[in-house]
Amino acid sequence: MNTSTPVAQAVTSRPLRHSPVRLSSLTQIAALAFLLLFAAAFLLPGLALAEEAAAEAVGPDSGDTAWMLTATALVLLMTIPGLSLFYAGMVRQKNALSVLMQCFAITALMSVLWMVYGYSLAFDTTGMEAGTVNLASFVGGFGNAFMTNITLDSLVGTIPESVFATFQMTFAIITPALIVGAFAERMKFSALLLFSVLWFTLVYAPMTHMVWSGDGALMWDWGVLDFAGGTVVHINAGIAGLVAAIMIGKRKGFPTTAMPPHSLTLTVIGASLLWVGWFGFNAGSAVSAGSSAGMAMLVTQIATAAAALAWMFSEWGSHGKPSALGIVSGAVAGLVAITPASGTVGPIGALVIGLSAGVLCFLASTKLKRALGYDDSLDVFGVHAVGGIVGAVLTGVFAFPALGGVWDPGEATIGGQVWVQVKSVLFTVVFTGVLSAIILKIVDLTVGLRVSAEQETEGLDLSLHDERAYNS
Amino acid sequence: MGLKLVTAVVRPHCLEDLRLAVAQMGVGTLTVTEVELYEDRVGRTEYYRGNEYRQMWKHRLRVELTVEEDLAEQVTEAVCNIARAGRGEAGHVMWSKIGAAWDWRDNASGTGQQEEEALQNLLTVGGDT
Repeated sequence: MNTSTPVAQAVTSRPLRHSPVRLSSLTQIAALAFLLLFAAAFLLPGLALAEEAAAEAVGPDSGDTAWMLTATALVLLMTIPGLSLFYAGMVRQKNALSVLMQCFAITALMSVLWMVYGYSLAFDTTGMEAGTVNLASFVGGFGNAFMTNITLDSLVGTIPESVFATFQMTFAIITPALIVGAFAERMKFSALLLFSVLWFTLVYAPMTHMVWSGDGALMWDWGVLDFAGGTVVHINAGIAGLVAAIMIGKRKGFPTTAMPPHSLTLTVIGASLLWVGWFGFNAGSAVSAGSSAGMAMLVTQIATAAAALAWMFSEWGSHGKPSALGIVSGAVAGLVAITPASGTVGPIGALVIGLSAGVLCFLASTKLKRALGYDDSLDVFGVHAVGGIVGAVLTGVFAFPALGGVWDPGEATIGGQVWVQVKSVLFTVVFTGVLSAIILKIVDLTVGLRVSAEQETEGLDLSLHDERAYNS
Repeated sequence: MGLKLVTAVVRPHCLEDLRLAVAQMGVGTLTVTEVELYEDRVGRTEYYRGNEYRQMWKHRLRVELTVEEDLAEQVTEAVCNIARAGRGEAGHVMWSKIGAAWDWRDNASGTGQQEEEALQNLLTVGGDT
């Protein structure tokens, strides 16, 4: 318990999310105990039942735990099959399987790495001190490598640490998987694996640590509001994707050859699964089943719907027709943007964040990409980085109760909080941008980033995997 | 009396009307192939997240009917009426004279005298093996 105890303290000390939640769950337990006593008085089976209920109160909260078990499964659903299908549908038929394979392999690889050292690097709090910037502010140690400190008794907040570690594992899975969209259709599979290992180790785990590990962590101490991973997941993956798309180069034939999505049916199914899974991502980030999770769920639905409509109408206005790819891309943009905001903003903030993300991500993925000429195959930058930045900055505005937020700002002002948000965004952009570039260079010099021109023309399914997505 | 092969390249939705029309003339057999028609005058634009792809190839059906010569004109007129459907777009009907043909359902053949003999020989040979 030596390292897991500080983790527990760190996480439970996220003050504003947890205090009201825990109050309400205590009330529930009290009510339950009262009901049990009431029943006991009538049925006269003795007071043993009430005693059991009281004993349970010191262990994990069963309601919170049940929700977090569910949320964890929902977040896994986001990557496989949600994101995998979303991406696979958008590539050409000859590469469909390679994208599914990449997402699946990342899921397995990140799970193992998270167990071996990732969880420790991200959530080991040894040496951290509130207000002090030291090495431990950037990354955890190896004290909990192989998860040796997780026992049946260790708790994070009101849930077993095993559940918390698995929940966070699913975040570590989806973040590198998001980047796949940027270099789809041309990266070597071996290069992808090496890149993912290095990026997970040097970028993802430290980012998680800096934002979420508690007092003494760099951005936590700045006071950044990032409920479910605007900086950690989306800006992080989006910027890495942009750097990767530029460094690996354009696909052969881009942009003169037509590269239409091979199955928008798969893409719409994938986006729909992402939407459903995202309730686990955002409402699960409350790490409890209470009012905070409930509000996160509500604002997630509002922002997603608003962004889907915003993208659809933007496209309808500028191009003349609404498209299925457009409306689902808008939904994903809204999901991304509400991610950092979901625990602190209210319904009105969610509506504004969704509408802004829908329009801005549409412009980034269509106009900006064309203007700059980079080949971010599936718009990881345009949707995740831009959506993440929109959400992160607007969180600093709409978290305030005066604007419908549900955050207790204490002494904070809107201007001050927006600056904290902007500073965190800039730090993330530079941190992930520079490190991703270095990692890609290393991978290029060792195994090489790209497949040969011949393999690219043949398609990665046959050239790298000896398989076809569709036989017939 | 000879046979004519009537070949028409039509939009896919015309097929059902076309089938019914020729059925009324007693033509109960037709062959359909999916083809890509290149059209330089009118293309379609597909649009995916800001990327516009000019699509010069159009999905069409090639319908082939083998009919008696005296029916060919009537059939062609019906095909043209259905396929044109008031829209100016590329498409065509072709006639080819058929040298020899037979239907192995009932061994019926519709060919000239010379071809008839050649065909009989062929069928005989075919029957022996």
